[in-house]
Amino acid sequence: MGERLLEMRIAAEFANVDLAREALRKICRNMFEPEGGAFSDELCLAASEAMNNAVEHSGAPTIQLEVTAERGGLALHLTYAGVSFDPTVPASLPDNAVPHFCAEGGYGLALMQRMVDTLEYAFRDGNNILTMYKRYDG
Amino acid sequence: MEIKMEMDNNVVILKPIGNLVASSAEILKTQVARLLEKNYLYLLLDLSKVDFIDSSGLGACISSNRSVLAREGDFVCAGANETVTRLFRITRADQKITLTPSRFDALKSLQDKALLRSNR
Repeated sequence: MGERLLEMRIAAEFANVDLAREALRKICRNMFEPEGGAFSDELCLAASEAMNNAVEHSGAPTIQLEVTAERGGLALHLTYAGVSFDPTVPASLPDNAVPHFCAEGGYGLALMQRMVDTLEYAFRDGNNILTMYKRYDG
Repeated sequence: MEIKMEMDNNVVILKPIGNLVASSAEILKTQVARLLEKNYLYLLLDLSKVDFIDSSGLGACISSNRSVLAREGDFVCAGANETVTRLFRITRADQKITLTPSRFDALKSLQDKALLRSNR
């Protein structure tokens, strides 16, 4: 595992997801994009969707987030207890091209998968362990 | 996130300030529902002060659009930054929700529609 840049544990609430996302954004800016940009936006979106998912569906009381520097990019490690759910199962976005249809939900998983380069999942000792990695291409 | 509201002729302009995400998406939906209850049917969502949006925020926009159209009103999003526009594009929500770069154009279009309706 690369250099640890952030470790935080939050109570599983949407408001705390905002705090975690902003901490991650700060790291992206410090490391790669001082003015912000696609890397930061996409990684923050993937992290938000993963944490929102944990808040909404796992029943876990807390979520642990760790960010490490890896191979010219960043890796996010999320650990939370509760209901096991594998977010690496391929998901597609709702097909909003279909006439008279526009889904209000069901985007999270597919967005998460699109926004990062790799997504790994394991369920160990009652914990969901999710690792997302995104390379910075400049 | 807070939502500022303005009225311009028959159009209500909703201006969220901050991030439109899971923690705040419900605020937008509630605000739109209240406006529809009061028969405000032409809504402009000014996204110029929204830095970031997630799938819940997008869902709130889609839900608002659907609710307004169901009442035969009109809903337009304007002034979104590149990040927000990209999410609309990736999810193809931009094919269902009118997204215009300029708030002025959005307002003009909504006012024309409101006028047309009142002349019917």
